[in-house]
Amino acid sequence: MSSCEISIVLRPDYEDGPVENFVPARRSVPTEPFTLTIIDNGKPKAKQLLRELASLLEDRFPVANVELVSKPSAGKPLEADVAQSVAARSRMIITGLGD
Amino acid sequence: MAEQLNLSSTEAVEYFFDRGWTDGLPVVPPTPDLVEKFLGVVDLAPDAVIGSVPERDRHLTAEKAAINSVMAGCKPEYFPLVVAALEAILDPEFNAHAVMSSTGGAALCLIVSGPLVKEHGFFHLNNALGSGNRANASIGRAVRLVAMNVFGAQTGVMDASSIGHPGKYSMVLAETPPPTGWPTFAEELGAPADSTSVTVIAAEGPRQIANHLNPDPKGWLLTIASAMRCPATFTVGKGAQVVVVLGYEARQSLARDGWSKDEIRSFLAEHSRISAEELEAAGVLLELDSAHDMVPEEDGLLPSVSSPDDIFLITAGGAGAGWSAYMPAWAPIRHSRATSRLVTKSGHSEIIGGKDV
Repeated sequence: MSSCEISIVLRPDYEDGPVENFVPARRSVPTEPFTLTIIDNGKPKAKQLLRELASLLEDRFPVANVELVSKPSAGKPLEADVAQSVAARSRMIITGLGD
Repeated sequence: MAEQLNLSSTEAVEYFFDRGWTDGLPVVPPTPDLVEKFLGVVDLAPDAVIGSVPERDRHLTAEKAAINSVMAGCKPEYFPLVVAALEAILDPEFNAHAVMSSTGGAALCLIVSGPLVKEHGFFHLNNALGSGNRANASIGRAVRLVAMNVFGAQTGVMDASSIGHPGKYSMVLAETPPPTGWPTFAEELGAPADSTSVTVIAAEGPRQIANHLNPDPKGWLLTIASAMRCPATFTVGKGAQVVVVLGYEARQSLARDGWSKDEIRSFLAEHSRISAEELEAAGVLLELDSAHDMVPEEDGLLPSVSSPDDIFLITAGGAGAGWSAYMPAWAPIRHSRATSRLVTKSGHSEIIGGKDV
């Protein structure tokens, strides 16, 4: 095949369909007492970092209680039922990514 | 079906570079006729789903696997093995999402055992982990290209490797028949006679191990164990799966001396244990209050392998004074486990092995 000959080649990458518009969650400043959940991804010192963040937020918002959820592996997502349960009882959730 | 692009072959190579669809080396342009040849050797429709990475909301079709295999330089007859390897990679036990994104920079290391080693002409003696062979190079490259192009395992996208290693181009270890009396790796996995297995393990780079003078086979094993307990390795003190490549002299002398593979595994597991003091002397702090706490056991030592059965003992490498090799998994087994498949001509691979293999 000469270098100028037109040929057909196939795309090797993942081809997404059209992305539908979505509406992001409503943002608001909490005024009522609420549960803050921190999700520890299992990395060393993650808990300490997240607890420090929670402490800072407690100074700024009416945090009623702080819950800690620990993942067994940073390399795996939270189990779906655990995520749903956490979402149902928490007004604010913080986690970390990476090391 | 994959989008068709109108490009000359020369333009295609440059276009693929520009789009980030290569591993940094030129690729074979995936024309429809070549892709069709690959799909023609398996019993899979182009849109058949080989597997998925749910965390990335992406799945792999047979067509995309074939396109990337063409690009990697595979022969069509390699395709069933590529498909089996990809199925193993997409097994949830392997946890491809974490393997492909971690800062640890693991390779998708394939271990091939069985008659296809000879049939496809893999290097399994000299340069077993080196360059110069189409099967070793292109099959490992094909799975890496799929990881990059289909699942976004690209620098700046979803591959956060801090350093990485050259095995991320391709890393295929083909087993040479073991000495008489030792089972093959495929047999250990439970594969039927005359069948080929492919195992994938998320691996760090290989460490070459030298022992040129010691006439005692136990000396060989102590040297290998010393490499397996290097404090600088992430999984040492935590425990993980590992690959130990027994080079020509090591496997011959060990077998001649009456060692079984089980005995070798037990010896290596025991002698690769390490004390907290040794880790701390190397500047390694013990992980506590984490996903893998490093707490010394009753003997005061910590493991470097998760169990003797988690040492994959592979015979490979050509004649030469005293070389073996070792590759640790990228992370402890709670994050990822090696997974295996039987290779079938239809492309419908079968699961073999299991958590205890």
